[in-house]
Amino acid sequence: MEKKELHIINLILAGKTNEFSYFLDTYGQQVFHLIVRMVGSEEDAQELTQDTFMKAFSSLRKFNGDSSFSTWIYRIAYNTTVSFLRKNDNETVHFDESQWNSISETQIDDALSPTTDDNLRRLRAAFRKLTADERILITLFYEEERSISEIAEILHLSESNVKVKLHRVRKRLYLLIKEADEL
Amino acid sequence: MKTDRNESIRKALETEKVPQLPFNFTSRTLHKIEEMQAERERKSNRLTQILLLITGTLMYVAGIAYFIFSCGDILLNLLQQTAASLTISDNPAIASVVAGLLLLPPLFFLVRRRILKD
Repeated sequence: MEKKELHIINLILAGKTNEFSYFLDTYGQQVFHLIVRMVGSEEDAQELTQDTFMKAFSSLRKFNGDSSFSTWIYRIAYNTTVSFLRKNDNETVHFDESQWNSISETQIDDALSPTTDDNLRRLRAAFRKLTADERILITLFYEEERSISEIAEILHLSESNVKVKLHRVRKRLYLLIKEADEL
Repeated sequence: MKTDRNESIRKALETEKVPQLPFNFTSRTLHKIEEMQAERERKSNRLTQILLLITGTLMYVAGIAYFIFSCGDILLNLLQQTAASLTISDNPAIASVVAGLLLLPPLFFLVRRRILKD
């Protein structure tokens, strides 16, 4: 937690609401990016980003500085988006359990590793078919390169659970690519 | 976990176009926050006024109760003596005291209501 940020928080709590613009300018785009990845819709993401910052402002007094402001705001963004998605649709994922268990790591690596344009396009298409929870996991780990402990804190999971989920997401990506190839 | 085998996932995400927040996002959100803050202050003031009203009413009732409890007998005797000799309307002083006591609570409520509306 930066000293500067703590100082700004104290100013806001003392009544200088305008100082909150620092957090809006610094983290606005990052939070929006994360939410867009989860919901897929730009309009919904804008609303949810605004809701996230309004909730953060209301709970600023509760922010104790144990984690970075970025982790804290991401956590609020995640909770806000999950609530929104729960209200609006129910994502259910069905897959063949026997097929799931028979996939080896080598198969996954072989399918996901090539960085050819065609493979990247297939990966992007598969990414869009993942659930919101899976997409946020991929975004945080691969795109933002957050540590496992940070991801665990944002998603309210244990570190081992995050690792298991990341492994499962790779499997899901492999299955989705395979499924698309078969069509 | 971050080995080269994940390079393709990273690249796929990097090359996907992500929309940007509108340029006025900060000012728009700040404006909403200020509105929320003002609304919250208004509600807080209203709550304080309501609590003051309740406290004032309770104090008034408690004062009357204490007065009746401590000098009720004297007051009753006085009223009986007065009633025997003359009616309230015959004595403007007693009439104004009684009228004042009766009118004070509704007046108090009216004034508070006016304040709350403002």
